[in-house]
Amino acid sequence: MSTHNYYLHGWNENDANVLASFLYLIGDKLPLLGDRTLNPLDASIWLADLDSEEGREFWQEALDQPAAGRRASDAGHFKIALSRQPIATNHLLIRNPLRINGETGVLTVLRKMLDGIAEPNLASAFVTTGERRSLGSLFMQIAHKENVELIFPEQVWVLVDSKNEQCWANRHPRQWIRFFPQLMAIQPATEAVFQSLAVSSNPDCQAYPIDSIKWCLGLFLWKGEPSPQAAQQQTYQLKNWPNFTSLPHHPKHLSLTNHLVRHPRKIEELMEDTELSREFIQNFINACMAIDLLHATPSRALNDKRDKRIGYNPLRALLSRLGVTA
Amino acid sequence: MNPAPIKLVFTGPVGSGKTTALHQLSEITPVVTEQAMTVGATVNKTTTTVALDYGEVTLENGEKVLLFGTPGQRYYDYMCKIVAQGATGIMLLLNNDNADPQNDLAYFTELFADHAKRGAMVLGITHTEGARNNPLQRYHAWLSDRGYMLPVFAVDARNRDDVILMVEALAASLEY
Ligand SMILES: Nc1nc2c(ncn2[C@@H]2O[C@H](COP(=O)(O)OP(=O)(O)O)[C@@H](O)[C@H]2O)c(=O)[nH]1
Ligand SMILES: [Mg+2]
Repeated sequence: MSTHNYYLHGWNENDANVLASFLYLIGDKLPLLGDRTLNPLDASIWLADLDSEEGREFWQEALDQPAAGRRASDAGHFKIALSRQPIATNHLLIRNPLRINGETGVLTVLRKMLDGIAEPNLASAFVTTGERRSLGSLFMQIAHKENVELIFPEQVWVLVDSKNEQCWANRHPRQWIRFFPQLMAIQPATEAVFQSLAVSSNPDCQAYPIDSIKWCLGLFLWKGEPSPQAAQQQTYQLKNWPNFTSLPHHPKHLSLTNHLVRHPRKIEELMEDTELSREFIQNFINACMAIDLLHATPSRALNDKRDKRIGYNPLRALLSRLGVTA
Repeated sequence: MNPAPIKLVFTGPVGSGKTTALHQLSEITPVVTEQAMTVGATVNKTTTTVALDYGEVTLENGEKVLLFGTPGQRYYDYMCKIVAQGATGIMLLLNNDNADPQNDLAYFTELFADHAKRGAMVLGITHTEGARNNPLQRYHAWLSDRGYMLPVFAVDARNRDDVILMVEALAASLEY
């Protein structure tokens, strides 16, 4: 697959990171955003943010230049402008506000352009399993409000109703952690699929928050590597406890949570705190990132009056009695 | 040999699922003292806990974990305080369908402030079935505004796994 570089004119760091994550997820080998070292002339795509001075200047210049007068080096660049305000129509302009649904808007345009200049590299309707790419495409489909069906062995399925921000499944999310690595297929879910599984009248089937599926993607997609969003931070802190009743989890996720809600932590510190592997911790952080549970700028250590590490915890004995092994 | 018993206290307003949750864990048939409701009969039930619910789990080493469910009505507060003394943790259940569950939250975190401040408290929000758009947000907001970082879960007190999750979170919270 050929690669395409892009250069951002006047984008802020945050928007750039969000775009990078999306691009990563659809499998394009574009360099990570924020890579300001790239020479604009080496990029085949230029994206200008019209809400910034730099972006506006760039765009004006591009428009002012009559086609004939353009430098040869200019010719190969696709130019895309975007703005959070409605702007004059132009086939290369994206009018959707970026922060609301704009990243996917940018991607739609990027997709079209890339289709024109390279072999199609987007998720096809039916994707077979296992790979990062198929799960990655699922993120995109959810972002695009597409409904999809995930099929697992043992007649286990999950229907993602992206429009209504929920998913339906015939197994509780508690069990998904077991099924996810065995994902067999992801396919579009039409109205007929919803009907045939009779989601609202099937007693085995229940609705869960869309976060359940996003969380799972976060846990499995990057296989111990930082997700592009997580890679932007070195220190992490949770905004609050995840709602573990609908998030597939491992008992050790609770210990990680306990550390991460109370103070900003680096991966290395968490490894020391919990004696868990880097990969395990990274997957957990990716999952928290996927449902927007991490502070953008970790700061405050919680001022609470907890006892220092206790030796014997009677609740552990209780839990083992109740059949839970930590 | 072991003077201090291990105690878990289930608390919360009337109809929040305390008795139901305690049932999920207890190995003995819980001693439940319900009586026909005369006061606070706003919830769709005709009996309520007026005195303590009591249950037990015996650990492998023979130690007993005592489970207490507090009375729901506020005029029994003195009993709640006595029961909570020396408790390992507080399991606070709140009914999301109540008129003002945030007020309930304020009330019980105040009543068990010692535990809340030490992180020895976990929240289970019941009756969230029909709720849309992250029903837990208002509880998190209230808590973090006051510097608390307690586990909060949407639970169904009738589901044993949900109740066990609350104990797991409590255990994790106590391990610094
Ligand atoms: N729908 C629903 N009912 C619940 C839930 N939790 C508990 N209940 C029911 O609510 C009623 C009150 O529970 P109970 O344990 O007696 O409440 P208590 O007054 O706090 O002891 C019982 O009928 C329970 O079965 C829940 O999450 N959803
Ligand atoms: Mg009761």
